[in-house]
Amino acid sequence: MKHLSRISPVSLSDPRGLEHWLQHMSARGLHLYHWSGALSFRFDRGEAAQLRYRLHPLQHGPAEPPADLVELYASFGWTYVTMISTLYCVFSSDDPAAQEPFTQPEELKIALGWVMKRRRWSLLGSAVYLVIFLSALLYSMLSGTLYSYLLDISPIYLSFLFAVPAMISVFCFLELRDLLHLSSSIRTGMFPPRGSGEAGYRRAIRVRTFFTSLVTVAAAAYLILDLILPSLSKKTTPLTEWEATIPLLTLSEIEGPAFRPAPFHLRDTGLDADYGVNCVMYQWSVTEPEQLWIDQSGEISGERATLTITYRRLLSPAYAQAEFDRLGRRYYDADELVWEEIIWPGVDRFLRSEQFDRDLLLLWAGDRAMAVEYHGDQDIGLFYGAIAAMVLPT
Amino acid sequence: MGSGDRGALTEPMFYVLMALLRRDLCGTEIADFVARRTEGRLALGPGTLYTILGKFQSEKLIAETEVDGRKRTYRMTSAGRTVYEEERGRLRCCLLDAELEDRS
Repeated sequence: MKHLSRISPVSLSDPRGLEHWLQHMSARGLHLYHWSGALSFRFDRGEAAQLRYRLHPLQHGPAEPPADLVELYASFGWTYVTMISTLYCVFSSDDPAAQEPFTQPEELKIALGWVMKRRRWSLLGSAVYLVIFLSALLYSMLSGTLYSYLLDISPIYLSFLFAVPAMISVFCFLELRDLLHLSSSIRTGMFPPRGSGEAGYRRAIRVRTFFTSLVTVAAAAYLILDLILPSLSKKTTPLTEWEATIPLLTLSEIEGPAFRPAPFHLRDTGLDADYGVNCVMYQWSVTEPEQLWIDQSGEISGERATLTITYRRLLSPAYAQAEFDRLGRRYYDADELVWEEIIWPGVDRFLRSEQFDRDLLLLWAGDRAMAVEYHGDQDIGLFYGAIAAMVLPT
Repeated sequence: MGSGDRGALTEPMFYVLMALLRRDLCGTEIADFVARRTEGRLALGPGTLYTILGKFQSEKLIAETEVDGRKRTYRMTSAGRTVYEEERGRLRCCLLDAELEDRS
């Protein structure tokens, strides 16, 4: 027999809506046999049938269906189907004459009161989790800490920063809405009559579809803006053809007229295919409007000289600071380098170190961060002004 | 526990206690008793009955006496008997008031 999974369009705080949905599914030939967790249900595909489903609220949240409850319902013509969490036992009957489980509103109010109490705690737990998550998110946005950490792993993880709270918010909103409705029914004793649930059920589907679409569109927009478009926007061009967007310090300026640049070429294999010699690789994303990787290479008096610049303009100074830390970790992690702090007007942080025969420079100024690696005979300290000018607003 | 503490019993609750006055019964026997005693006027569904039995057990108005497979038998406790008698007295007063009102 073929099994299918379906997500319920109504929440667990709407037992009458769930009953209606299960009946609707049975009428389409999908018969419930298992609750898989959250709003996911497993169905057997079979003949379409007019089954009645009823949810019995459980008082103490047992792990197994109470045997005496199953027996009692069976003696009234109801078959046990499954448990939904520890909230409900689901029963079904194909006998139109089978006695309705709840014949009196007072007892229904008592039973739904148990559900109400436990769902309220569940909602409160979700709300607390949401507040903690949003606080942590806000802190990390302001300080750039989490951003930097996630960027180190993969930019895709950044999307969770927005998707997770969005999903929890939608869940909390819908849950609160259903709980208020349930609470009102319990307080007034006015339960929607059976058979009148169609409109409410359709409305629930519309509300959930709207929110699901909203989250999907937001996630898709994020993916497109921050992952796909940056990949498409990635371009590599020879340095000689590049219309510089920053006051670029060239290797010729450092080495003097005797410097001979190497011919432009791209590495033709592997992941570094976009990188090359004497070229600029640039791309953009929503959080990083300008990313440049600039390679300059050549020879002077038979000796090889290189200048590699990694430049980032970001959304905010907090992001730039995080990027500055991340660029720094590339070297910190490799070796315990000794960094010299350089004070330069307009630059927030300016560090210099040496690794093997290379000079390493890290800069952060406002919303820009940059790493410079220089290998050559000149004293790079003579060019601090030109280097700082690359990250200072023009 | 008196009815003053817990409020009035609902009609199904009153009949469930009445069913357990003379002997211990299981759920279906209670439902049969209520249907017979009220001549079908009051029908207890399994949800209503199970909720009442659960609530009465929590309030110690009834207790389980026997578990035979899936079937459980219940008896009324002395607290249950007190609540039943208080409710019966309250209903009797209501009826007397109504009769006095008719005669006046």
